[in-house]
Amino acid sequence: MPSDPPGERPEQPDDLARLPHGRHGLPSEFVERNQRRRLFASLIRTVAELGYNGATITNVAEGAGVTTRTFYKYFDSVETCYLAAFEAGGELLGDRLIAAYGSEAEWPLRVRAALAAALELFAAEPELARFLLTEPFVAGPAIGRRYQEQVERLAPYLREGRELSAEAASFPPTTERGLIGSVASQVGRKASAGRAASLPALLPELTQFVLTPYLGPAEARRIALW
Amino acid sequence: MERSPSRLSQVKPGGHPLRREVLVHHQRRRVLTAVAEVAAERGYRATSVAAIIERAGVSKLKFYENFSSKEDAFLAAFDEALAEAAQRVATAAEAAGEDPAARVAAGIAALLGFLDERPALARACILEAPSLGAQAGERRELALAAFAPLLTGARGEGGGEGGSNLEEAVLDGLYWLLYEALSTGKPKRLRRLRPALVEFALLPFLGPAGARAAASA
Repeated sequence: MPSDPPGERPEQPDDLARLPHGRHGLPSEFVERNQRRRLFASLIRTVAELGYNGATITNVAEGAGVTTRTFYKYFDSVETCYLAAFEAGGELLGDRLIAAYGSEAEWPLRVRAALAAALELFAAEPELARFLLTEPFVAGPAIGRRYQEQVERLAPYLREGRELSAEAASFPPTTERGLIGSVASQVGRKASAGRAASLPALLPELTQFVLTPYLGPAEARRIALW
Repeated sequence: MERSPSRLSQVKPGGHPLRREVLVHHQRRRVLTAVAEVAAERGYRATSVAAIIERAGVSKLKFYENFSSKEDAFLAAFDEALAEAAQRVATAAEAAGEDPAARVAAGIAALLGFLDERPALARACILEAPSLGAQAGERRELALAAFAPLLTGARGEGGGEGGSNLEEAVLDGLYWLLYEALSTGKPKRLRRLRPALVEFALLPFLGPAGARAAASA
């Protein structure tokens, strides 16, 4: 677990985002947290704009307002920076979805609330969608495995729906991971294609897709159009 | 294992009985096999033209007679794999008869069989191809166009009304499950996933009972 999930608000005002040169007297721990955070933010922006293949240490460092030497203090490659940022960002996304899931009592509505939270988050932050959902595959299987960990973290919540029917109880163990992987891919593609603003409109369709195996098409549709 | 370089690799220039175009064809083929193998082993990004030609046993000159870059060679290997996979799936579906669920089941079995026969190609196309970025996006559309019609056949039976992108949603899920299976641990036969993938593919169209019946048939 990285020490600085990006969801945490920096406790210092924004004008500290670019630290003054020289002896500013800020505790070194704060400087490090701040620099790592800025490198993550810059990487996410760079990847959203140029794709993983277009991200270099030089442009990520530049975007963060630090030297490449500073970049190397924290990471030895774009890939390791991506891994760390992906872990932090994936954690944040998972937390949001799980919190939204917990905001409802009934399982079908819980699933719908989690989907809605994801769509709203990525509509507001399309850069994060490309970074978390699409480009990990471009980055390669090492990051693909972290992606897989996030899918596995969410699967048990969906698996609770198996209690709703005898047929669902004996679904193959891969069912939930397939559903989550599919939704992530659909959302990521739409966001990366510049259609992030329309993501929330996908809620009925995605809800129906995810719930149909557990509830059957008619009931899934009813919840989707709730 | 992938087809190993044939005896043609030892054919000496000038002294061989084969016509030149046959030789060129075999050199091209060896490069396509080699690029998939090297990319599967080292990752696409770490693959170099030097490593490809060494594996293929062809000269740099011959490589560049056929391909403009490693990307060009990789995409050619991908396109050929997709064409063959699509062909096998279509043939299997045809042989399975009229029942849409049986056709989907046969198509998935054929795809998994193909991927098991060519493990390096499977890794290259499923795990490594996305590294090409935008180029891979175009290939994704081609793959979608190749496999979606089979699923469309299952629409209209039972719960087939859900959304215009249902085929794409199902194929996204199947792709992820293959990616996951190939990226974890030691290579196992993908064929063992057949019942789970068939059930997954048919669930949104046929509902749980119909999907299970087709998967266990």
